[in-house]
Amino acid sequence: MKKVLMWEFVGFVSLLLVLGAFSMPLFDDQFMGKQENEIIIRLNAEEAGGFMPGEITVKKGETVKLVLVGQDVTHGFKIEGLMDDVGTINPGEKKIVEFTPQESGVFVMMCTVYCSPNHHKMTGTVIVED
Amino acid sequence: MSKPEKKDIDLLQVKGVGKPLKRILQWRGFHFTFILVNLFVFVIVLTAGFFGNPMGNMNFSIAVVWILWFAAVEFMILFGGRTWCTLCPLPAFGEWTARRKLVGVHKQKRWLSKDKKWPKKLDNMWVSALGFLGISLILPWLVTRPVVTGTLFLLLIVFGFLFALIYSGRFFCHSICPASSYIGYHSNASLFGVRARDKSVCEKHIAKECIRGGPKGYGCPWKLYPGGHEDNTYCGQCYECLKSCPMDNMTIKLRRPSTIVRELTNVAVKAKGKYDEAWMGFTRFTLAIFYELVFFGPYWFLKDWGNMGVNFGANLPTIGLLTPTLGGFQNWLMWVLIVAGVALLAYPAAFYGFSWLAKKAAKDKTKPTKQVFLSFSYALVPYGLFLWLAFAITILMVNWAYPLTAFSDPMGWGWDLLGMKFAWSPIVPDLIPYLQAPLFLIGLTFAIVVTYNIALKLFGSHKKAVRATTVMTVLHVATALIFVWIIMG
Amino acid sequence: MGTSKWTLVLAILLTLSSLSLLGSSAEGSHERVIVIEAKQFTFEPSIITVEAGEEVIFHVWTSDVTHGFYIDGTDIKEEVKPGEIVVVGPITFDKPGKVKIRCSVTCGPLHPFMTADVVVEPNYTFYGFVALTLVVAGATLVYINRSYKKSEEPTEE
Repeated sequence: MKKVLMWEFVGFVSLLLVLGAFSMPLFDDQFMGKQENEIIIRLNAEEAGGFMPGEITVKKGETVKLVLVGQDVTHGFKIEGLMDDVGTINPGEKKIVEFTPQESGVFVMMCTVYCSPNHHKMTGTVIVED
Repeated sequence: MSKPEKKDIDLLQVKGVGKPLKRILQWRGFHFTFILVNLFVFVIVLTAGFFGNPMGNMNFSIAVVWILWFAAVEFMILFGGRTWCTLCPLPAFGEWTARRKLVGVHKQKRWLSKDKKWPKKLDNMWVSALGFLGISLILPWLVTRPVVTGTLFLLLIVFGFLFALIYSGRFFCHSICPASSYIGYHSNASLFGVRARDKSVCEKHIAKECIRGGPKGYGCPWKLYPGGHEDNTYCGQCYECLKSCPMDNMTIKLRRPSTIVRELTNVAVKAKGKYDEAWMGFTRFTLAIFYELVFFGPYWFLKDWGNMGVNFGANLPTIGLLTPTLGGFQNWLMWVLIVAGVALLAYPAAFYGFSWLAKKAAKDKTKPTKQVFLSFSYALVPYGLFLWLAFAITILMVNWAYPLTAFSDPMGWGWDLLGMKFAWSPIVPDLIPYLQAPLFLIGLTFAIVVTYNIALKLFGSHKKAVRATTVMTVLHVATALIFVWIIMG
Repeated sequence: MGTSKWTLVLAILLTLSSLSLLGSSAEGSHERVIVIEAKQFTFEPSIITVEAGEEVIFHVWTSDVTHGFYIDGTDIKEEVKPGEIVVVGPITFDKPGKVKIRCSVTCGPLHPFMTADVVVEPNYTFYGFVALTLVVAGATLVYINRSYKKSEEPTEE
C-alpha cells in the first residue's frame, strides 16, 4: 500500500513539473542569453504589435547593443538620427547592431522594408537621457 | 482443400523482444510515463500557441503539430495502429480524476465521476467524423495560426476532462475526439492488432477481467470485449487488457497482409448501417486528394478562399487580426461548399453509382445496393491511408526544418535551447512525386484486392466478384489518375 | 497475397518508373524571359510551361513583402525585396516532368504553401505514371482472377 502511494506521489510531482513548462515565456531573457548591455527588440508588422518593445530608454554616451529579432515577415531597421539602415532582418534571423548616442533627446526607429499595409506606421521611440 | 493458415506474428512471444516488451506494457508506469512526456509537449503547444510568435512556421504549435505530429500519426497508423491513442494526453486528466489514481488500479468510485453508461446514439463515430470534417472547413487557419491550434487543443483537453467525469471509461476518445475516428478507421489497414492468443481460453474463462477489471488492471475503458474483437476500429491500445488478463492470453499481433485483408473484409461485410464509418472513409479519401491540390498545387484562389483572404498570423494578443473582409468571408463560404460538397455528397454519390453498377455487373439479386455501397466503402480504409501518407511525405520533405527548429525555439522568439536550428531546405523536392507514387499505387492495389474479397463474400461466386471488382476498379483508378495529375501533370 | 505478387508489382513499378525518367532534351537552346510576380501567397503566373532544354531567365519582383525564390532540383535560392527585380538564370530545364518554384523566405502565414508549377514538356513523367497506374490496376485484376484457383476460400467467421 505504501509503495503504491509512493508511486502516486512520484507521478504527481512529475506532473507538476511538466505543468511548470507553462512558465517558459517568463524566462525569455535567460533563454535569449541576454547580456547586460543588450536590448532585445522583436520586429513585428505594425498590425501585430510593431517593435517590441516600442520604446527604449538609453543613456547618452553609453554604447547600446540592440538584438533585432525577425518575427513574422522581413523587416528593415534604422533609427532616424542615430543609426543608418542596417539592412533586412528575416523571420528567425537575429541582427546585433551597436550605437552610441552623442546627444540626448527622442529619436524614431522605423522599418525600412515594406512589411504590411501599415508599414509606414511601424515606428518606435528611442529616448536618450543625459 | 484447405492449407494451414500461416500465422501472424505474436509480438510478445518473439525471441529477445517479446518478453521485455510485455514487461514494459504490463508495467503500470509505462502508460503514465509516455503520456507525461506528451503532456509536456502539449503544454509547449498551448503556451506557444497562445503567446508565441504569431507566424505559424516559426511557432512550435504549428510547426510541430501540423508538419511533424500529424505526419507521424499517419505512419504510426500503418505500423502501429492506434499507437497515438496509447500516448495521447487529451483524456489523461479525465482518466486520472475518474480513476482517482495516476498509476495504480482503483475501483472507480461515484465521487466526482458519474460513471454513466454511454448513450447509444453516440456509440459510433458520427460526432468524431463530422468533427474532423468541421476542422477541415477551417483548416487553412488551423494549420497556420497558432492561436487557432491552441484553442482547438485547449477545447479538446477540456472536453476530454469533462466527459470522463460524466461517462465511464474513454467515452471522449471513443465517440467525440475528431482524431479518434480517422485513426481508428484506418487502423484496420495496420500491421498492428491487439488480439487474444487463444479464443478457447477466453470462452472457458468466466471472470472476464478484461471487461470488468481486476486487481491488476481496469476493464477495457473502450467498452470492448478484448478476448473477442477482431478489428482495430475502437481498440485504443491502452493495454489494460494485457495487464488485467490473468491467463496471459492477450497479445499484440503483427498481422500479415492476408490477415489484414481478411479481417478488414469481415468488418466490411458485417457492417450494417455503419454509415458513420463509410462517411469517415469518403471524407478522409477526398480530403487527402483535395489538400494535395490546395496546399501544394498552383491554384492560389483555393488557398485564398480557405484562408478567408487574411494575410496575418495570429496568437492570442493579436487574435483581432483574424478579421476577414466580407469578400473574404464569402470566399470562405465557397470553400466550405466545395469541401463539404465533395466529401459528403459528390464522391459518396459517385461511389454509390459505381456500387450500383457493380451489383448490376455481378447480376446479384440478394444484397441491397445500400449494403454493397457500405461494404465496398471499406476499400478506402487502406486507400485513404496511403493517400494521406503520400500527402504527409510532401509536407515532411519540404518543410522538415520548421518543426526541428521549433524544438530549439518553441515560442519563435529567437531562443536556441538545444543548439539545433535548421535553415529551410527541402529534401530532393523534385523527386517527391516518385516517392508518392509507390504509396498511392500500393493503396490502389490494396483497394482492389479488398474490394474483391468483400465482393466474394457478398455475392458468393468468384466470377461475380471479379465483375463487381472490375467496375469499382474503374472508380478507384479514376481517382488515382486525378492524384497523378495533381502531383505530376 | 504471396510475395511473388508483390515482386511482380514492384518489377512493373520499377520498369515503368525508369522509363519515365528518360527524356529527350530538345536540340538547341533559345532564351526565354519570364517575368514572375511574387505575392502573398503565390507566384504569378503560377503555372509555367517550358520545353525540355529551353533556357529560361526569370525576372522576379514582389508586389508586397519580401519573398524568396527557390526552384526544386537546383541551387537557386534568392531573396526578392520590395522595389527590386531579381534576375534569376539562365536556367535550362532538361528533365521532363514537373518541378515547383517555392518561396524561401517566411512571408506570412501561408508561406509554407506558396508555390508555382514549372511543367517541362513533353511531360513523360505524367504519361508514364498514368500508364503505370493503369498497368498496376490491370495486373491486380488479372492476379485476383487467377489466384482464386490456387488459394483457398477466405474462411467464414
